[in-house]
Amino acid sequence: MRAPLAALLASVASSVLLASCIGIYPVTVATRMPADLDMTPYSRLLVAGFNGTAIDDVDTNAETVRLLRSQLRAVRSLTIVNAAAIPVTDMLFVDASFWRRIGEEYRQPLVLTGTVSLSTERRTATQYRDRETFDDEGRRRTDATRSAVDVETRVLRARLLYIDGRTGAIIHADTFQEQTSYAPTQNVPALSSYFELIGRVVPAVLGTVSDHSVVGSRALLR
Amino acid sequence: MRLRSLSLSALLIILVSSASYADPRGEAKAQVAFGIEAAQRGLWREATYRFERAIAIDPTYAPAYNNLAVACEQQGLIDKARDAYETALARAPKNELIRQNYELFKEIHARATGGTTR
Repeated sequence: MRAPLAALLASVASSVLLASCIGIYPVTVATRMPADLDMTPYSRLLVAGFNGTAIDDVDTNAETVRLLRSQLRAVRSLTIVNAAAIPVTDMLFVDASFWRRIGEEYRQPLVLTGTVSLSTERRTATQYRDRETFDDEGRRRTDATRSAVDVETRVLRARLLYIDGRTGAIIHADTFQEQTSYAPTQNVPALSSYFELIGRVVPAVLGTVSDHSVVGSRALLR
Repeated sequence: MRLRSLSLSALLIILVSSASYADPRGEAKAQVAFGIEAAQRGLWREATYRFERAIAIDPTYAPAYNNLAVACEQQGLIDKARDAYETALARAPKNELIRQNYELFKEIHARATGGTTR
């Protein structure tokens, strides 16, 4: 246990030494980013409901509403409206009078709705492996072998619409496609894939309605 | 306590590099070294001051502009950061690290101003 630790410390020390010798000093920079939307007219946000298809009985409407509401509660400047998820359809998204009525009912919030679908796709991927062989004289050879393997890919497609609860008009839209692949033998529950993939979308939703920081790395030079 | 150790470090850097004070580049490098130390401790205003001093001493020293750009970026001074990156690249067009910093800056800033789509 001590040897790997010593090796790690030596590696870190040599990296620092190398950096200072060649004059590169990495630093972390946090950039303050404003919300994508002008949120001044809104103090309330209603995550209304989502249309879409899913696999293995994952209810993308209920799950997305619940997850986004809980994550959006971190935005202190907004009150997240508690209401039953609304069953929405594609036609409803452009029905301004419907959203105006919803707006009146919930005191003119910003409304978040849209489509969230989870699907499974079978694909064939190429896998490369090194194969070790020995010739008659015992010399080792390494050959790269290529084989086709089946992978199961879960794909989350989301189109999120932000609707002004006063006018019923769509004021902002974002489209996402996220995917993750497994070996077919892994039997990963669809709900696990859903949370993995929707988790990648959540920061963008937060960034649309609230100021946030983006942390990056930069090099200071000598 | 933090300021005290920083002052000691500054003194040390100045003493060590006193031999190189004869030329503007050596003096600018000493200011940049102190600025880097300040930045690594999170004292970005002090770092900015040191990088600006370095530029005033040796306006041809590209790393000072690069570092000033990073410090401005950290403080949300976007226009000043962009100017500093562009000057750094004008002084050292082949410096890949400056170019990489600038590309990262532009990517983030484009997102901040809605220049890209998700």
